[in-house]
Amino acid sequence: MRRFLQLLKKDLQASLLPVGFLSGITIILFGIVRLKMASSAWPMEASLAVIAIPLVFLPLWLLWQSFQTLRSEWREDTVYTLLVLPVPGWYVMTAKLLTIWIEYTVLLAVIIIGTLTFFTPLVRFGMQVVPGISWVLRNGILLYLGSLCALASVVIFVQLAFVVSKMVGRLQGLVALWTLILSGWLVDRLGVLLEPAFRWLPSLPLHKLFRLEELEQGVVAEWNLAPEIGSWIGVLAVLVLTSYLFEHYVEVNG
Amino acid sequence: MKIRRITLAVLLLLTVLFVADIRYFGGPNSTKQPSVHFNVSPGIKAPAVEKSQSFVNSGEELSSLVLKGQRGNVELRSTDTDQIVVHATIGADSEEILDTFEVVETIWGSEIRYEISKGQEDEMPEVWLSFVVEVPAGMEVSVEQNFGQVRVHNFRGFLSLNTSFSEVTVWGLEGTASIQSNFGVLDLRKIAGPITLNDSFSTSKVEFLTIDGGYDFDIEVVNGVLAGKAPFQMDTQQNNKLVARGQSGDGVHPVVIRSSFGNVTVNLKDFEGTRVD
Repeated sequence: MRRFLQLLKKDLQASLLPVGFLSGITIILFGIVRLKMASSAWPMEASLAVIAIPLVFLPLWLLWQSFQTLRSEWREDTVYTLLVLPVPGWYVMTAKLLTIWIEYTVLLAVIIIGTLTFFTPLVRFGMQVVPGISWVLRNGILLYLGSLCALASVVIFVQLAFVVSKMVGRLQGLVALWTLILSGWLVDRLGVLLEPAFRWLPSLPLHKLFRLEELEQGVVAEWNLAPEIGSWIGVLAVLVLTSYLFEHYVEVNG
Repeated sequence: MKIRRITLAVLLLLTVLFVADIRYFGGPNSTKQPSVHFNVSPGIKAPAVEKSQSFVNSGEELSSLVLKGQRGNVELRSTDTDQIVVHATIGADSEEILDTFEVVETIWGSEIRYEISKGQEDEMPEVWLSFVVEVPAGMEVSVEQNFGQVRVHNFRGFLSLNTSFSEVTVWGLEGTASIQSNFGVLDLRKIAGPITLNDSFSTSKVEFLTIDGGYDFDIEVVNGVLAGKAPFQMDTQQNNKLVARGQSGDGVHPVVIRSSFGNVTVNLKDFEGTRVD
């Protein structure tokens, strides 16, 4: 566990600067728009646009970071050390995944705190629409947990694509891109193939989980989990495969 | 070098499978049905004030009944008498609004029609109109309903339903049915006869009784889910389209179902075959 924490610490230290920079940019952007709104130069709707900018940028940044955290190991020649250390491949991969999760959490927290601090009228207006603060907190946490799972699957696919690209001599970028597409397709097919085995699972009532009836009566949203279970198993298999390939077959000179 | 070759070989094999999947099976979108299903049927608030009107007509001269309800309930059943009995209830938020509306009966040839009168103002205020109706067996009945419930029990004749944002229950039908539903929930049971169902963004369950002549199933579901226990073969086509064809008995009575973004379940009572999902 101590080795895992050391790996995590190393990755977090590497991401400290970019995350700090992005957080700073976000706060400065929010502050400028707030000042413009205070001087009545810009309408309240401008706050919506400025909140949307980092929210749209965030997934792109995290996708890039998924590549970058592994790429930096080759660029800075630290991959030698990683492979020599007596740590399993999944320690390395999950440490990087956890780092991405922490980056996401920090940047999301900055956006939320910035919104609450700089755009209070917008928040007050939004609170009139939703049933209550407990409803927002509950659904916010559920959405956050859901987004962590979605992010994890993206990171795992990217890690496999990168590691496979390091196992070939040429056209590594194209191989990475193609592996990304193929692995996504393969996991999707696995979900379809295994779907009959999980039909006994009941549908997940999302409207109850998110208490949608408090927002609008008569809304029913159900999630059929049967086709998803196979895909989730596939994603876990991809993580195991990536860790194994990284540990045993990756080309350090690639 | 060996691992490079193996990696390339595996990638090549997967690429062949991927291309074959796209070429011959239509790719990932062709067979994977949406796993999250939304259904919106807004809650109906109760009116503050109501008034009722009743109409009784002989069914000897009339063969067709049209009901136009809104935001309320429609209850319909067949009887062995030759009388058409209609109890209509109008609801509104205030007495002022209620006084400006009434149920209008119109007879045109062999058709009798019930609907709410047009208001004085350009903008229609919130008005509820519910019906409880008894008709002679064999009659043609057409119901239009938005935002509410339609309940049909032991109906014999020709039934036409056109509903939006409504919950439709038909328990017992001997005759022909033509149903159009948008954003609704349909529960059709003990159906004995040909049926045409068009739905979008709806959840539809249809249970047929075994009848002489049997059924000819012709079902198409686009961007939705089709399941059931009935003698049809399901085929997946491109663009998220599920097509099911099949017959029971001699296939005399057509069952035509067209659904988009819906969840359709079709069962034939006492069918011994396997369930289709």
